[in-house]
Amino acid sequence: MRKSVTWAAIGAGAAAILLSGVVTGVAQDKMGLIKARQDFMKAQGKDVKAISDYSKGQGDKAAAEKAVDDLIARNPKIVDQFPAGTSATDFPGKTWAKPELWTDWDKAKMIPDALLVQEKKLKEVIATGDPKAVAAQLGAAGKAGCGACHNAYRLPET
Amino acid sequence: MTRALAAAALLMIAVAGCAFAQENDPVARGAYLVAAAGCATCHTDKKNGGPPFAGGAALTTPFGVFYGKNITPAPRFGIGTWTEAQFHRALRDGIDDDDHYMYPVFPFTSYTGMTDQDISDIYAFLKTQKPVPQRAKRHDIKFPFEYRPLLFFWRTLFFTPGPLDPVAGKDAQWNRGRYLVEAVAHCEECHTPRNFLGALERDHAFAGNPDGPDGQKAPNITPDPETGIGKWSIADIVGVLKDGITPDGDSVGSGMADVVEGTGKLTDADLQAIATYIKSVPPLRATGK
Repeated sequence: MRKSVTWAAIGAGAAAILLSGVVTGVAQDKMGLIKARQDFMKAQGKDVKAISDYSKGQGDKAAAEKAVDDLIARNPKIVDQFPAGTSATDFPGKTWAKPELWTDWDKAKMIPDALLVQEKKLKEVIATGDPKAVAAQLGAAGKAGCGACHNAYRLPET
Repeated sequence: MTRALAAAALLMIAVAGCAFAQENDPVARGAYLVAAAGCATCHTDKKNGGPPFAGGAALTTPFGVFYGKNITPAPRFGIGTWTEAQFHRALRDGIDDDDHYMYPVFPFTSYTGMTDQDISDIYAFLKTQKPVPQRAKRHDIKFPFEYRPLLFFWRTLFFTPGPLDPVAGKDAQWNRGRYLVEAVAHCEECHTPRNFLGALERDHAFAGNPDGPDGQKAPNITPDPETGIGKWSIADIVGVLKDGITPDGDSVGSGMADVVEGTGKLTDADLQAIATYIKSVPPLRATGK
């Protein structure tokens, strides 16, 4: 009787440790994904900055051209940055992606396509070499493209 | 003599740097002011595709949930029966057409700074909007704040009616920026911490509010180099207000995005004026830091 209780206890203990290990492992994986997403967005920001600098007469055209190509290349990967279970509700204080992004998934996943249209237009405008026009198109892309997601699905950082 | 000068300066502020002020059309001037003042943010339920100015989505505060009223010229449920004098009293004194004190969720505490001409222009613009006979949702106010007469005490402690007087010795651009920031765009109302009675802690003006509208954090926009926007140039501030893009290429979201819908319509001269004023406020460490 005692032996089976001991074995049951050991079994339960082992299961608990294994499970917590799995849970912690999954949590760590998700944190890794969140960090990767944040790094991805920082890279987006760097490219936007390069274009913004050019539009204000500060940066150079070549940098702006490379930046917009980077943005276009990165666009198909945007959707992959948002796996399930990585919202601000899942990881408060670590990420600021609203859970609505996932409940509205059918709508949200279409936004990168709208952004791509803006990014391609931006590429054309940069090619003309007119910083003022670039500023205008960057603004439009910011509002209709980046803004479409950020306005609806991003909380302010705390 | 000083009064005449002050009046002249006041007039100058209303027109300085603003192309639209040369418009002879009060409705066009009103439209511009409505963009700057961000009326649609609270009075249009954009989230649910509500008609313009027919009443807003919920605004959650520590005192309850408030809903922006219907300010279309609908005679029932809107402001169709309001006289211009009543409209003035609402923005200048925070009193509605039933002679009730209004909750300072409506930032009359800032709008009180506006000139009579600007308030009239806003009224003219709103009168041209499509009347929507739809009652806005009722506020859901926590006990005991739904007892409006308590506002008498709040107002005594915390409210000074305007209008905003120009500051002598400062140039027209700075004064224009101050007018737009303090009286119209009312930046302080989100970016300043509030005390336990919900009044602005004005000696921490613009230092940020970790518990802003809808519980969102509003950042420090004083020129503090570490916790504020001290490293931002005038062009950087203009950039954010114009298209929501920050100096590090980020795109502002949530509450500020709504603001940019309005400020994005302002002239470059007015945006420069706003940025000039914001760069001049006392640098403070972010609230709570």
